[in-house]
Amino acid sequence: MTASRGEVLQGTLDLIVLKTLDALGPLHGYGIAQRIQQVSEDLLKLNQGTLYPALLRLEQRGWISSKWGVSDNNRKAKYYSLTRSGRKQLAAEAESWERMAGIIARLLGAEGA
Amino acid sequence: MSWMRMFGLRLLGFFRSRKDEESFEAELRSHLDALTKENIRRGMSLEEARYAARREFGGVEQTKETYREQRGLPFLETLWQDVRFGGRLIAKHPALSAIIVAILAVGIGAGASLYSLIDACLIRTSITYPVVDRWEVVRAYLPQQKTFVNFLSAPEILEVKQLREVFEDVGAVHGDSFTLTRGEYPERIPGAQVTANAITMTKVQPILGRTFREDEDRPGGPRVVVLRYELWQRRFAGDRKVLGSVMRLDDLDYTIVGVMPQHFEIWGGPLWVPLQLDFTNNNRSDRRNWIVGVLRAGVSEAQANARLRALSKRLEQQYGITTPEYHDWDLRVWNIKEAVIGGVKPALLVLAGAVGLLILIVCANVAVLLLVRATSRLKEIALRIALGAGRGRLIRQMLTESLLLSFAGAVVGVCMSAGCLPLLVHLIPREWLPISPELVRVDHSAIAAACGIAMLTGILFGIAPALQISKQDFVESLKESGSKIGGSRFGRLVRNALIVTEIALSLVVLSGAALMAESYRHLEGIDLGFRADHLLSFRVSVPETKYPRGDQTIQFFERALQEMGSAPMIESAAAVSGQPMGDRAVDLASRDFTISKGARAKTRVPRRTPIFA
Repeated sequence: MTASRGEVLQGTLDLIVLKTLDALGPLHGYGIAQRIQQVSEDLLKLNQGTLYPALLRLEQRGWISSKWGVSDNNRKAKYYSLTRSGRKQLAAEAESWERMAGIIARLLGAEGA
Repeated sequence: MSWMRMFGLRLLGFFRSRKDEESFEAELRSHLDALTKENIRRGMSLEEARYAARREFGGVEQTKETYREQRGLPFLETLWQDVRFGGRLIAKHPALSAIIVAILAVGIGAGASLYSLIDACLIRTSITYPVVDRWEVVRAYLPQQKTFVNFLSAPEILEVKQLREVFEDVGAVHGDSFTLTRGEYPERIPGAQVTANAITMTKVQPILGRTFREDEDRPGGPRVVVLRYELWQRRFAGDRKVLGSVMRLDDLDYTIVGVMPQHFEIWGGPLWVPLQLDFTNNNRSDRRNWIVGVLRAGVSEAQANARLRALSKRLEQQYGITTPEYHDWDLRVWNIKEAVIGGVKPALLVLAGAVGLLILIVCANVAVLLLVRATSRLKEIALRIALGAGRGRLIRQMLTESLLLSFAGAVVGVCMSAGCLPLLVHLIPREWLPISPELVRVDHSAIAAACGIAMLTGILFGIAPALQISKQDFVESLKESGSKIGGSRFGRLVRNALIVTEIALSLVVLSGAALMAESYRHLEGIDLGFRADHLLSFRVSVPETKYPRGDQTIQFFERALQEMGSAPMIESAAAVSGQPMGDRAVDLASRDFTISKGARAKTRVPRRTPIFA
């Protein structure tokens, strides 16, 4: 893959969303999308629409909860926030991600040597 | 647990889809608005900003679609759609639908009725008695005569009792009947004499009082009686104070000590008295009792039979000279379930086969009707395919329709079955039914069975029309003006095959039924060697209290026969200990004798068989 803007890796969107909500507190869908683009410095190619089925899935799993509220510029918006079990899930997923990344890194390093 | 929560939420989503849809719509709009606003801030025109916002967002409709799939249960949604559509279709052809449902109701109703019968006779008997799988009758097999003999003598029972590593407990049973006098009316009641452990080994507890104590089944023990619920209700109006009161049986007073629960059917009728077996009786040929026992847990029937074979061989060696009937004999266990239901099993299997065929005929029949209807729907279906419906999706819809019909049939069929089952049970002779008739009923398991049959038949008769669709040439169908009566070649082929199958199956059932009717006619017309049309028979038993000696009994019968013979309407009267063709009990020591016509016949000295009724 030589594309300059990486596709979101399968299964990592959940982790990204959970982490974002953990770092910034309750956010609406637009806010989450903005944050992801900002942090990744536009390197991550994200169709913002794909965020919504993911948010729904996370909510169905009980990891996040949602509530209608009013945004900064006085518009109605749905705010998502991390739940307790979401926090636990984030920790677990982050750990497994790091373990995986470590393995991949070692593997690539070994191949190079 | 989390998948259950997920399923629950999605099920909820399925039911609240409209409200959620609006909410999601609003959420998307606010996201797009925010994007647009941001783009305007960056200096785009409104038009440009909107366009850019949509591009950044990705496909709005696509998002909605995936969101919907995630929210509800797409499978359920399509199913619901199909069910509604199928319902409309059924309502559109009321006559055809009514005929199909009626045909299905007959098949499924027959299935449900038979299931109830089989369930009651073959399956439920095992629930009533905890030890039923290990509960055995021990009987002798005579290979030369190819018969089983159920009656054994006291010394033989003692020998079997010794096999402690095989049997948990061994008891004896003697089928009997009693003349109940006193009370409102005299009555002959079937019952049994049992050793104390013959009841306790069943692990069924009395509902009132107790069963027999160990000291009650010895010779000279007290005269006590245990009743079954039904008799207790009928003769004593369910009075709980009945314990300790006296019942007059065969001119003797018996004290009531206990009541067994309803439907405790084993070992004869609704009352039991202790079998006061005299184990000092060394007469090996005095065989009047059944041996019953419960195998130890973990001992198989094969193991038990091996031990019993060793025992029979030993007895043959030891007593073969004085007891010639031990020659080549073989003791074997016979599971109580077999003993009780063995007689009905073949009849039930025949019935099951007939009902199975009936259901297949029903399927073929309905499939033909549906095929004809499917042919008239070819245009509609061609149109659907043209609009992008997949074949799998169409087949699924057709199957949903046929399942809808078959479940409607099941509802009607179960109602019919519930109404007709008592009539069917009434046709079965009481002594053939190993369970009381009121226990045969359409219960939840029969309804489940009906649903199962409906499911199977629905798929079976729905598959032909569904497949026809997948083979259809749709361009041709669309071109045709109006519906073509013949349908496709494939459709015609399937239809013809179905009709042939249906007729073939019907022939099988009809010829089977005709054969059975013919056999029955033959049985009726069989030459018994005597004319039975002017003969009447009845049973009588003479109380030992009034006629303690054998010659007194003989005197009684001689006088009775003489007086009956001189009655004006009676030509002659005779007495016999076992009714010809009626009592089929075989004794171990049966002998041949010659009757006057010169024909040789085997006499079988019968004893009354314990009745499992």
